[in-house]
Amino acid sequence: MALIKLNGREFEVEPGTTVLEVARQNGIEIPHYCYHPRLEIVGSCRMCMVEVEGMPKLTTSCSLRINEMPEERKVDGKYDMVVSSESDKVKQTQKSTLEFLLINHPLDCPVCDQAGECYLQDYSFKYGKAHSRFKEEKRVRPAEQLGPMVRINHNRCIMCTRCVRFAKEIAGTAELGVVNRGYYSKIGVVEGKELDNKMAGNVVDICPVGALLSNDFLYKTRVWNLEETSSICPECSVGCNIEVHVKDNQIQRTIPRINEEVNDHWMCDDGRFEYHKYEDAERIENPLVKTDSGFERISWTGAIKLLLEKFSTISREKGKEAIGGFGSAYMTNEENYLFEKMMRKGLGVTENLGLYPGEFEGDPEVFKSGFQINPDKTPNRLGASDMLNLDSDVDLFQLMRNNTIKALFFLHGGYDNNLSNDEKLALRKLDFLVVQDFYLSDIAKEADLILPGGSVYERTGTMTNYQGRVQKIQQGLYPEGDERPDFQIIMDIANAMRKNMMDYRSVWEVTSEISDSVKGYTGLTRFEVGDSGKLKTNAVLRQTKAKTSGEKVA
Amino acid sequence: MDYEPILTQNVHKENSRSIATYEQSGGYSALRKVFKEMSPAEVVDEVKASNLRGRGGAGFPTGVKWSFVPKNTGKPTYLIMNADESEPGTFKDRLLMSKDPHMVVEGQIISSFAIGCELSFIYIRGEFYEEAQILEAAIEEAREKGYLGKNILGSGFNHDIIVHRGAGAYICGEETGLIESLEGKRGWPRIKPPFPAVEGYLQSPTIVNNVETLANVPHIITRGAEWFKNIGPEKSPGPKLYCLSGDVENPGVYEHAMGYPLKDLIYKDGGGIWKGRELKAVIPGGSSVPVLTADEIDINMDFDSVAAAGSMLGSAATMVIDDTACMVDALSNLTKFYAHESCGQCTPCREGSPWMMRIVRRIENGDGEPNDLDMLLDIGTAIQQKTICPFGDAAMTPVTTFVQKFRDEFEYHIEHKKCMVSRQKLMPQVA
Repeated sequence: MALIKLNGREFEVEPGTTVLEVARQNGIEIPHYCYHPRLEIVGSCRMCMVEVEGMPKLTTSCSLRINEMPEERKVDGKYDMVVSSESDKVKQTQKSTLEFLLINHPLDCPVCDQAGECYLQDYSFKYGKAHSRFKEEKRVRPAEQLGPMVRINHNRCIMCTRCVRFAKEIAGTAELGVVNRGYYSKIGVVEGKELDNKMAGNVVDICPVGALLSNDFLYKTRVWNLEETSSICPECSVGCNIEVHVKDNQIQRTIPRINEEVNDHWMCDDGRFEYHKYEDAERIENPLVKTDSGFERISWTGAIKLLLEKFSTISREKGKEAIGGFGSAYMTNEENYLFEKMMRKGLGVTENLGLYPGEFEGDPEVFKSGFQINPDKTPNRLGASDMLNLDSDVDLFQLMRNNTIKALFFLHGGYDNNLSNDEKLALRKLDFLVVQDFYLSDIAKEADLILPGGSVYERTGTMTNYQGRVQKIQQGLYPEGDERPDFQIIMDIANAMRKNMMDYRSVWEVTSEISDSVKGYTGLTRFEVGDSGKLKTNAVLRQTKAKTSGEKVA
Repeated sequence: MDYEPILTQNVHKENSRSIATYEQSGGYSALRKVFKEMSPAEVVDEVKASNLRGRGGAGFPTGVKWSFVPKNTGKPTYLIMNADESEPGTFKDRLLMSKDPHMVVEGQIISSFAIGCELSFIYIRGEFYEEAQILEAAIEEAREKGYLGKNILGSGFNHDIIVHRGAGAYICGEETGLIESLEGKRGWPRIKPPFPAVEGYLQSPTIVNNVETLANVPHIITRGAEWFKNIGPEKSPGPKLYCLSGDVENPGVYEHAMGYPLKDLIYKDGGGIWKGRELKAVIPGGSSVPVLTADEIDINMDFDSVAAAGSMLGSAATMVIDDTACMVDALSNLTKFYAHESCGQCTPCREGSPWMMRIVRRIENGDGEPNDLDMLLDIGTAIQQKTICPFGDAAMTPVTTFVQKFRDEFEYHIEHKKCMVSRQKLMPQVA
């Protein structure tokens, strides 16, 4: 181990660790722009310079590796390196570097989307000086589109080249480069290309200033007005960790949250813009019952009463095997767990449970860094089947076709998943179909009774990704009509069947019960799952290769 | 003059480029000697013992540089001749390449043998199109003679040389920028360590040597390290090409021993100041080194002596400025060059070089303000030693030293909005 003294504090580190890494791991802020933990170290912004005892020049802490020194070269007889990021010389350099970065930077923070989360802004306050001595004309260049999702405001760019390195090293698509030279250098797309890879949106997140902008988020809101919720991307079974940013009960953007075991620092653009799909959905705001003249409103009490009457009648007349249900690979473990309990304990269903839709075919799309997008567009197939305890290959549609199942409870089957004609005909053979969904889906259109729940951004609970990692999804949006949370609907039905059958005061109590009773989920309470998730104990390990290092080992 | 030219011994001969001319004057005998009598280690030792220092500007001991090449890496070792001669005022390598290309090629082959390199490169400045063709022709001649190719002179050593033309960037003369460029990338200097000797071209051990440096090698082999060490000062010995330009009667390339007096160079070789004017300033080692005033020129031109006088020998490109020249005008021209050539990779140089240029130009145009001079010095300090490569220092050094040593001229310009000295602009402004 090597011993370093940084700003008067001692740290024991693995030889080869950089000074900037030591600082970051220990809560010491050394300002930097071009350094990014997943990108090759280029040391070009010169913002992270530190003073090292025995070295005449300041040096960049991002590229400075701490190695064990022979005894005679140790400082004070024990330190392999003594570094200051707070000396007068360092402070003066930080000031002058910021002055250089700002001489051509417009002071347009009031109209810049980055304001509030801008490192040029923050460092200028902290390490810069209040006045610029620049009397010349600023360099002015028009903004450009780099691709469908991303535009660049060249005037704000500080040439850290994070975006160029991202495209080359992480996405592996290398659409970006530096064009021209010196004072005229700027970020550009390689001739004949555009920045249109499925990871492109990440360049906006890693741009430390307001140069790279999301066309989607452009001028939408000031970032300090956003409510941030840690959640899971619902777009595919990878389950990228994300933050949902909401204002006025509308999602303004979603951005990745670091999880080295799943998505590392990234998310794909499919997931990033997934929420727009739901904005277009025609929401169902009240329970609806099908009549000869179409769907009509019904009260929740009336709806639940009707449901129980129909199910008990059919069960009594045609036996328990006439009842079936589809859980949902788009809903949480808790919702599926309660659904299973209600179906099996409340309605006596034994085998007739399933998941819709079935497995998606295809191979994952894997990028250079190992980041992947899965073909399975359900976020919780694994968790849902664990909760439903599906152990046989029951084809529920077949059982409908042959008139075995006559009453079916169908939980939300995904947004825009259209039923095949065969499936539609099978559903039409039922005596009673109840669909719990948030919009008038293809499935809901076939229903005799619709119970309005929430979209995937309105759920709280846990989901299990394709690796078997149990992760927390949290509600960012709140319904504006008479919808109820999905787990509440199931509880209401169950309790109407039998008083106090489900007596949970929150979703997390269900999580606790799962951690006591479901195989593989032992101990996985809300707290154990935490912010970055936890593998279930019987997970068939399918680790992503998301965690990579773009760093060149010097 | 009792100095016997060594590097330029052939340049005035007829057909100086041909291998026949070169061989008649003893050319390629060093190569024969090496393959007959010497091991690679002995060549390295001989060059080390000669105290030959790099002629590109930094003056690093060549033999020591060679000995940094790690052994048994399992990777090839590369030698690159740095023929990207671009420092304003420097035109010595061009003379060697165009008039005596075989001396350069022989040096390259011997040096490659010394460091165990089977494929070497000549990275030549893009504008030197003719010189590149001359080198290609010389390499072809050497190949025909069996000095290049497989099993050279029965030694078992294979070697070939590729001439690679640059694309017109000054920064590609910086060795790591050069390597990036040779790899087909932008000429952006790398952060060091690792140094090229350990990880250079294609991540393999790479030695980058200046043209003139390598041209010395055959002579060291033929006549020995002791002979070489006795030419000029022992710690900075050998023959040296001096590029004399500016306001002198006879500009040109002059060969003398290291440590030749600057005064002699200007007044004897150069025939004195142009039109009998008075000397005002001398830039002794290429445009990026500290300027000397007329009072400071009583020095010898070797690495250590010029450094002791507060400047640098650099590429020994001596630029003479007479008393009719306006130093603001001269600096305006120099800052334009550095602003144009900054690669733009790191912040202080990318932003600072053009900023300095614009301030100096503003002063030159009569729009200067009293605090501009201190600001220029301040910007210089903010760039100095804060950049990835030495370019930042090269850009700020003329600014700082011009302002420090000729401050009265700058102040006059700011106050009176005109030049202190009267001369019509003789230097055309670069567009």
